[in-house]
Amino acid sequence: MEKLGENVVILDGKNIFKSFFQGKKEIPVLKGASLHVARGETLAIIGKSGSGKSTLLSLLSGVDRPNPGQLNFLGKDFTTLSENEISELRASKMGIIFQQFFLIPHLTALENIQLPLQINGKGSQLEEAQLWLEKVGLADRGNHFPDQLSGGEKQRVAIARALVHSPDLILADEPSGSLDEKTGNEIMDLIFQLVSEKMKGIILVTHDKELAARCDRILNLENGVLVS
Amino acid sequence: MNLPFSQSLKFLRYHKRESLLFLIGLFLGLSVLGVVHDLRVSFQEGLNSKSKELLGSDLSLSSRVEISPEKIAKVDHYLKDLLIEKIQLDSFFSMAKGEKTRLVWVKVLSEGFPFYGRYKLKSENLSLIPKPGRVWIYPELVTLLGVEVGDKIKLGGKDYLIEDIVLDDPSQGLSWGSVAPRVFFNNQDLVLSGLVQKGATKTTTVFYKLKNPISDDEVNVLEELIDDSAVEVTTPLKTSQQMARAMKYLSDFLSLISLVALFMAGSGLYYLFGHLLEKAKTSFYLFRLLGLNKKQIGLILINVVLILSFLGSLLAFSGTAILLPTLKAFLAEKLKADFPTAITSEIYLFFFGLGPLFALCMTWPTIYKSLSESIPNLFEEVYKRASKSISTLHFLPGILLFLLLSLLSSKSFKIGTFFFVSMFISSSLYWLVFNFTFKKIGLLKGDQLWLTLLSKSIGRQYKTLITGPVTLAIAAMMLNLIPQMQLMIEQELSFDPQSSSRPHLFMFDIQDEQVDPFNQFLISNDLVADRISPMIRGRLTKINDKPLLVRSQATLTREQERSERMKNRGVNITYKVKLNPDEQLIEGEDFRPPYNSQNVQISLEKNYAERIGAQINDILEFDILGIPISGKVVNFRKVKWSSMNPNFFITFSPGVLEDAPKTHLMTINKLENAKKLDVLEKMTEAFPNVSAVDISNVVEKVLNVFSQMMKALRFQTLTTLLCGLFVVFSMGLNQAEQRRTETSLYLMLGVPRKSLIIWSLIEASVINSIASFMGVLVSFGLTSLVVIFFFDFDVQINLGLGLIVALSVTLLSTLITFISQWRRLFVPPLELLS
Repeated sequence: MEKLGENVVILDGKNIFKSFFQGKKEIPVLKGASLHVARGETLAIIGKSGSGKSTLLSLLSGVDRPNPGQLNFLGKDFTTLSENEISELRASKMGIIFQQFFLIPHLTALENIQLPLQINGKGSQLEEAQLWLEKVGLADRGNHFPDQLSGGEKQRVAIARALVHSPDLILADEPSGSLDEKTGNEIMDLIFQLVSEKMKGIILVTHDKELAARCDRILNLENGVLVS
Repeated sequence: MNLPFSQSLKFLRYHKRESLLFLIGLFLGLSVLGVVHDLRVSFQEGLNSKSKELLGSDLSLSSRVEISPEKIAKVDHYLKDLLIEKIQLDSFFSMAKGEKTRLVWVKVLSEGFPFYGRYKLKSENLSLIPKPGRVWIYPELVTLLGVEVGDKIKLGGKDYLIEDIVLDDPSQGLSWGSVAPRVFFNNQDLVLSGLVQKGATKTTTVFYKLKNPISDDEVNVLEELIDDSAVEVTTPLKTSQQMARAMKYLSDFLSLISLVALFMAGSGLYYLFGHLLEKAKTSFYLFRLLGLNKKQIGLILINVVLILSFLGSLLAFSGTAILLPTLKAFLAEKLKADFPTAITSEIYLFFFGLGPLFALCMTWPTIYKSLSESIPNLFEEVYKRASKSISTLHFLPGILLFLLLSLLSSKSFKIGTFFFVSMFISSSLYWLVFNFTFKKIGLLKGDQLWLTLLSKSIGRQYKTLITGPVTLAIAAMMLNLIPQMQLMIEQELSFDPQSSSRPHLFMFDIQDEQVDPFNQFLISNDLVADRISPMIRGRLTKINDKPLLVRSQATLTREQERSERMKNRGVNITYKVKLNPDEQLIEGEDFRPPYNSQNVQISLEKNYAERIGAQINDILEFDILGIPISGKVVNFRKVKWSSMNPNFFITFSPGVLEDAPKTHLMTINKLENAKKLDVLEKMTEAFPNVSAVDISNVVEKVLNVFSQMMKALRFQTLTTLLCGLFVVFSMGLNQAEQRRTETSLYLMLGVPRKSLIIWSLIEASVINSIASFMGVLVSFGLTSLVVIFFFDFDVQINLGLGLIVALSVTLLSTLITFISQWRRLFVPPLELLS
């Protein structure tokens, strides 16, 4: 893996292009965006609404593929991996935090947190999950279903779920976007604290400049490219 | 616990309502079919368990012609090491005269027979046979002949004392009622009675008591030794299978109707599961995003279906297990039959094998759809849910299963295929018509708010709503189909004393030399025979020089069974120049002169020809009392069997059989009841060997049995209604959930609740009435096809009945829809918004 200074680069994207078709019309969204993230580094990506942030995230998470572009994650070229291989990589090495929380509605808070561990076939799932429930301050809400939790509580569960399996990279899409200011700040404090503790890389997508300023680096997504 | 299994349990834990509906659907679909299947198996088991009593022996040879002593000797020789006892007895038709006169079937008994089983007599006497000069009678003859124990009846010109009444006859498998109730007669009286004359319609049977049961291979050897298609070799098992035939027909049709209910329930399962996956779509996207691959997700979904289907099967099995003993006790009493086991072992395979397989076939298209869709970009603020249409290929497992079950249930390729094709075409037709109609309703415009909202609601949602109307239409179709068929068949068979198109009396066993005296007798009673037909007994031995005798170990379909029976039995032959009015030439040409033994022409009834595999210009060879006679098939004809006139499968041209030993059949049309009874009485006195069938009695008996069967079938069609209503209810519940926000918005905007209720009722009644009326309309066409194709009757549709069915189904389904929408319509808006 590439090293940047003393830090190991875990994600390296070069000249990423992505366009979509509306009927016969091709609409380019990303026009040669490049970025990298090292282990333990926090990177903020800011951009206006419609700038292509969600498209970029979908490529970085392996849900979609660039056309063309190079995207290496932990030394593996995403564009050459099969869907199953990407799934495995995502399961074991990535954690995703959505703006809309996206908890599994039919699983309790504890079960939502256990899920990544079960997918990865790791042992001591219950204890580990309980630990993370405590870390996010929801020790007594483990048996509640998502529709019984507040927005802030749901996001805490989502954070725990994203980190429980010790991924190398977190993708966080406006994690406080659906929350009030106070709760949002609490959530962000939690994220930064946990990421720092565990030396994870994080790509934080936000339109909030104040929030972005808390990260090690900021990239602006403008006109389909990422600029410092 | 492995991940897919644990996740499937958690999934079910959360989606309790849909799971419960799924269970109910499977329960409804499986339980009725399971009951019918179990009854069929159990009934056959009951007959098999008393098969020896049914036959009264271990083996029998029976024939409608004399069995030659040489053939019997061959059999005796083959069985010499096994043989314990042997006896030869006759049974035949005769007129019996008490206060009234009636056709009876005389069964001759002898000392020591039956070898197995015993007649249960009213007096509780343990005698095995009536004493000489005395007879036993069936209970219905008490009323039919107007006699009691101790009275005398005349048989063949001689009087016999009624010694007892037979309450239970072990040789009668099923009590449907009989055209010719039995009279039991002592063998010693037979010769002196003069009852059996040459050419009389009788059955001669040789009964054997053996040390060990005889195997199928040994039966084949015996048949080869006898080498005579007119002689039937029967074992106890074969007897029980023959006895079960009538019941089998009924249970096959009951199975088919249950199959309709099963697949209607299945369409409900398809809808429910599809709806469930749609609801849980985001969860499955997340699973994939979190790293579960398609195989694992597929396993979760399959586990969900398997768990639900196992539980549904268990529910159906439990319901059946509770219901069956009571039902069997009721049927045993009503039909005087045995249903021995509480639950047959096959039922386990049925429920726990078919249940999951069926559920998987029905839900597979939605599972595949869920797995094949690509994950949308969940990072978008409002992400687009993928919606892929399902390829028709994925419906194939369900369709093929339906076809397979249709063929297995009907045990007939013709009926099974017809049924499957009808259901497939009608369902597709409903789907197309409703798609078109609802789309058109969506284009309706008007000033009235309710009309605008109605048209938008139906027009924009119909694709998700279509399953309900389709199943409702099928239910209405089935509910109208059976009564319409029943009315048409009853109309066709019904007996009008004023009508001259159908015989009132049908006389047979008239000897050659009795024809003129009999005609004189009729004239003297101001009557004339409408039709006189000679009848010669024979057997078909060869077609185009190839021997005909067919023996197979097991026949697969009803058509094959019938074909084998047709080939292996003796035949009645007549001769005439022209076709009767109720016959129609459909292929070939009429008989042409010269009419002599050098130009033997044969006409075959078309279905009979099909069953024996004969073609025009084939040469058929018959054995007529030991003399081989060949002729060429020159035409096929269609016979209107419902005319009740004497008609024959095989007709020869004149100039060939005139000198053969024969009897004659005569019919008299248009005969008042009082005169009929008078004529019967006089005829029995004057011609004791001649038998007569009162056609009105036969029709009454047939209609009675038919009506019982139709009652069972009509009851069964109610299960299709139940399944249709279940689907409507399930859809209504889901609709209510989906339209909660819409409803609360209307209320918030100031629409009166009363208006919402009325709009809801209008919407439901529009959709349900279109479905019901469409179903009834299609059933008219289907009924006509069935009646023409299978019965060859005239089509007479009862529109009034159809209207009643359509209105009833509409009302009931609208009520059910309304109830399912209750929560949405009657709950305060704030609660709806929470």
